[in-house]
Amino acid sequence: MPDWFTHSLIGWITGKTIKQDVALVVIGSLIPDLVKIDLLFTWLQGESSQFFAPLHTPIGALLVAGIIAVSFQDIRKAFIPLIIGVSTHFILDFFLVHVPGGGMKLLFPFSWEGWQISLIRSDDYMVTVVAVLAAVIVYAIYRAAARRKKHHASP
Amino acid sequence: MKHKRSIIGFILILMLFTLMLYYSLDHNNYDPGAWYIIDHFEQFSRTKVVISGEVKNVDKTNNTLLVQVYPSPEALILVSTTENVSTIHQGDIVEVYGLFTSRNNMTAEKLLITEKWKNDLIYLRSLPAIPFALYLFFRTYRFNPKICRFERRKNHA
Repeated sequence: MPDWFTHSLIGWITGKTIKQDVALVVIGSLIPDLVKIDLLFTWLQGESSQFFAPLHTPIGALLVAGIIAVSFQDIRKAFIPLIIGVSTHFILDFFLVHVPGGGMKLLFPFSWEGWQISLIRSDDYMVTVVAVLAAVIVYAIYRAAARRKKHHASP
Repeated sequence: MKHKRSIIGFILILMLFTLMLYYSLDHNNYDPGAWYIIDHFEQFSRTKVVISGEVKNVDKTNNTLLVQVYPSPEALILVSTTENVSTIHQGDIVEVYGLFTSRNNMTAEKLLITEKWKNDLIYLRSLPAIPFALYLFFRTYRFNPKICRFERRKNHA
């Protein structure tokens, strides 16, 4: 996995550029990594990784997004940005390097096959640096646009 | 319908739980865990498998690694490899793809090494995401306990 910060920044950039609810896109981008709950159980000497593993599959993450969306006023309006965030997560993870057979089970429960493009190492911190720079650029562009809009609006 | 929302939520939780249960009960047939492979290594004598764990010892003379397999702290596997192990250190994280030759021995076809500090850095880099996501979320939404739902804050309506 790229780190959560990279995932959340990519979610933020996506939400900003496609004019979706940024907060929910960012939350959605972190949903598949709820699978890391198993670290807590491992720390408590329990074996749970195989139980939580489906959270890091598209269908599992969509179900979690649905459960979260139910706690919002408008379920559909919350669900769409959440699944956009989930999608950014899987797109980013799809590029990670693993040994053969270690990829993501994108078609689970219909197939147990792992899929991966193997371009980025998960320990490559340059991905985070690039994400931070991209987020700063997007932030600067939107801030400049907002200022220009405010300037034109004032008499 | 008055309880429509609760019913949808319950159905989704039930579906997720079923999915998780199916995975945990059936994964050994399709994607066996390290513990299962070690216990039934005869079944995997002709099948290449993936295990991951922490390097406990590096034998540069025999080109072998002693790997503590995740998530089984007591499972140690001696991995033989043709790859250069001189840059691997104790504590590094390793993904091994290869064949089991006996219960605690494996011949690696491919190794993926992550240095310990780089692996720790992944978790450190992850930390800022928590306040970042919480700030963005609670800046936009607030929880209304009366209706048990999140609603947009007035300045973000």
